[in-house]
Amino acid sequence: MIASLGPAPGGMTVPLPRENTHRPPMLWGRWGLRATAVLYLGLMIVLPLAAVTQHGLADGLSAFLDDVTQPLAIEALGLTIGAAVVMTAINAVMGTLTAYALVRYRFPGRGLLDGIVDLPFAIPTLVTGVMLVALYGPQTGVGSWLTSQGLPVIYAKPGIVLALLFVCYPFVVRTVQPVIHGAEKSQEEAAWTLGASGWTTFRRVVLPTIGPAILTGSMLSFARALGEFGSIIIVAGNIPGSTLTAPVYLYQQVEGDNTGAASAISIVLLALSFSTMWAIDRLQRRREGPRARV
Amino acid sequence: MSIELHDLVKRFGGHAVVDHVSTEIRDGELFVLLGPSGSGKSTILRIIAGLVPADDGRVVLHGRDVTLLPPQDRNIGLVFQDYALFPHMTVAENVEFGLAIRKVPREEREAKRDELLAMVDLAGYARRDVRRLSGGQRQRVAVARALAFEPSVLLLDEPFGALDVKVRGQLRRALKEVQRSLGVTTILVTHDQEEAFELADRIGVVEGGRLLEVGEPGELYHRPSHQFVAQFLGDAALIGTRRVGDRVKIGRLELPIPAARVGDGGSEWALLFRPEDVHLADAAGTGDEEQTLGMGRVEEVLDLGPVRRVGVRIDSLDHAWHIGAGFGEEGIPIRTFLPALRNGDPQIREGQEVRVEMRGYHLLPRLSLRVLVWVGDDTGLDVVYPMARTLATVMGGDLMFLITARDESDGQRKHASLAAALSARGMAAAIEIRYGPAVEEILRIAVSRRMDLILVPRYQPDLEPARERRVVNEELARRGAIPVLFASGDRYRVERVLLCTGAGEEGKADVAFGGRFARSVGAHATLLFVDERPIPEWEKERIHVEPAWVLEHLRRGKEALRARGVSANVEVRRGDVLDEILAEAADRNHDVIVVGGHVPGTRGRKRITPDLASRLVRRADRSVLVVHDGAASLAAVRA
Repeated sequence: MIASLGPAPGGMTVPLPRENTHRPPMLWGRWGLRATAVLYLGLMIVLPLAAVTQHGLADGLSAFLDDVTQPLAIEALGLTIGAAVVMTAINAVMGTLTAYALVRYRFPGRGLLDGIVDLPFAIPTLVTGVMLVALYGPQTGVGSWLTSQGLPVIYAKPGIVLALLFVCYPFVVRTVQPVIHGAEKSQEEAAWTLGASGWTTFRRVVLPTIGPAILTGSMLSFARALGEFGSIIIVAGNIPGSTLTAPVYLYQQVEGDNTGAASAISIVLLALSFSTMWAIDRLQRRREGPRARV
Repeated sequence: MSIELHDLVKRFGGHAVVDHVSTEIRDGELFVLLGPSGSGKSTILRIIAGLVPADDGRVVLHGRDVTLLPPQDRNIGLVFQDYALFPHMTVAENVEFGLAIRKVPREEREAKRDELLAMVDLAGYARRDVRRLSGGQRQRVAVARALAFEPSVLLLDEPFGALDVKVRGQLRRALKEVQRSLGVTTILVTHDQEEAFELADRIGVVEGGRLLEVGEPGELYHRPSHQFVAQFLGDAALIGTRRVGDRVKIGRLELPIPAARVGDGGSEWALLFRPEDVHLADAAGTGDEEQTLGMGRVEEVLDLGPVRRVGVRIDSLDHAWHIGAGFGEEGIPIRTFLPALRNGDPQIREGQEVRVEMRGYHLLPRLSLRVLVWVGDDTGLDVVYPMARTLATVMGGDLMFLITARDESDGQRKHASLAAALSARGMAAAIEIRYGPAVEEILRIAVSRRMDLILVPRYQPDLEPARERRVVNEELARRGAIPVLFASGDRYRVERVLLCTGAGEEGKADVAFGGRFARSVGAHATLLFVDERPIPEWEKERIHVEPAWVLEHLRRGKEALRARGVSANVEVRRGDVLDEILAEAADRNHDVIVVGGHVPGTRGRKRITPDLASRLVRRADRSVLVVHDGAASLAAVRA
């Protein structure tokens, strides 16, 4: 019965192309591409990192600790972290608020506001510093009034936070905005019909959805704030022990030909940045991966 | 009554999405709001839930007026189309949410949750992640969540929309069981008539923001009062017919209007019959003359498995026309179902002649034409009166007079004068006064009250210098989103109607509305096409033949008129459009000229432009009906 059907239609005699016909070029292409990528990464990123680490620890761990525990260095690191924490806290709240307003409400000027959120990314940070001095500087009306109220901004700590707020403004807004946009309005409406007030709905329905995004945005702005130099060098006044931040302190060490200390401070800043990045990565994994909480 | 809706109105951008909706829903009832998408049914539900504030009207739940209460205080369970489960919570947390908000103790909460999950057949799913559930399971979680806090009313917005057909069937039965066992008053919104029939105790049909009709499924299916309801609920053949005394005539049949409805409606009625009312018999045999509608030809036999769908077309019927005939469509299409073919059954083939018998039918009155009349000044009534009387008496039109005035004393004076003039002529009609520019007020009222036609006096430059009337004429001819009839005061009878059409465009609204107008007043229609192209020198001596596409267009237009029961002939003239229309109207003494234009913003190129309509109104020495191809005028044709 089967034999009578004859050869199956569809060209059984034509051999399919075998893997050996095109394996070698693929091998070269694949490995060539990978090698280039790895080499590039190594030259551009890993090598400088290794160099600064080696340089900072070249005189031994005690020398490193000496450099880092200089009173001025500790003050500078403390100021940098403190200012970044204050800024991040404000930014998390205000950025979330802005993002929520931009997505959920229609109001005049909404399109304009949405457009200028990214502006701080486009403005050179030195210009940011000049702008803040022009507004809050001691010779301006606003600045002198604030100083007379006992709250000087420029050449004082509030100026540092203000500069950081400006520079890091887009991070939280832009990470939270798409998540709110993706979250269904109907979930909020469902919560209302179930009896939840506006605040309870935000806390129990909206916040759990956008929480990870707020954290990610905050971490990003925190990491960015640790290294901020351009705007701060102009607004802070750089008074050692008072308004001298770690990056500016580092710069002064380089200027003073004290490269060992500069490298040591660099290592601390690097460690801080790395741990923040690592935390962000963990957070994002948790968001995308399986649920941690039951 | 569990739910009372009193005159709810919701407008979005001036357009009424919910338009004076009132109804009462009984305790424990499963009420289905059925309508096409965009009809406003979901908005009604959201108004009841408090998610959308009503512009007007009241919502009363169990005797409590909740119109101004926020959704939190209405004690309503709402199931959303996308379920809107909280994705970061488990099934249990979702179901308990409403109870947790109400600070119900944990043991009580858990007991209630387990009871509800068992009821929706999800016992043992409490710890599951809602994101890992199938669509059907999510839907049941949403129902359980909405019922957990024992709401007084359950609302469901297209709850089966996102599910596949098989799951849908199971869930419908499950929902009905849950609803019955809890006895909770429920409103379900859907566009699926099968779903509505399966679930509903009563159905409310929504269209264009209006709640057209409320009734039990069988009652709405077999005895609807509205043409839309008849067509929306399943297959329907609808045949237009005229009333003669207390009967209607269709072909050779004379059918009595049911005693209870003799007082209803105007001169036109629609005969409705469903596929199951139709019986096909051998054309050669002697069928039941009492039930024979006419002879038809089988156009289509479609095997659908358990049944065969058979499409038959009856060529024509005396005194009757096919409601909703397409442009160029001939005859009356009828659809019926036959059981699947078994051995020994007689075959039925396409092209076969059959006798169409009617085993059941329903008569419903056609909606009368709603006409807005604006007379302007004191002399205006004299000009519009003959046409107004024709519309009211012959067409069964429902007239409303609009007075536009500068101020209150002006308005009162005009009102008194118009009321006196109307009562002197023995005409009763509603009169409204508006303060503002005439054109804006006319269009606003015409759109918001869903008028089918606007009637205004035509401006005659040589007779009176009324500036307001001229402005109204020019603007309405250009902008009329609703058909406008510019009346000349000299003709009481409308015997000949001239329909001006431009070939190459569909011209649906003008032919359809003009045809309805001609039929209603019993006039003969002439379909006119004016060829504007200059005649080449070498062709002048020869007899000119119009191109095939023009002839085809005219043939289709004539068929469309015949299908509407209008006798029609075709004329072709050459030359300037405006001159030739006026010459034709004068030559054959047409009483009304009908022109279509297109409202700016609609697609397609038109030879007869709004500007031309405006010039025609100014130059014609007789009444002109302008029907622009706009959404509103098409809607008016369907009504």
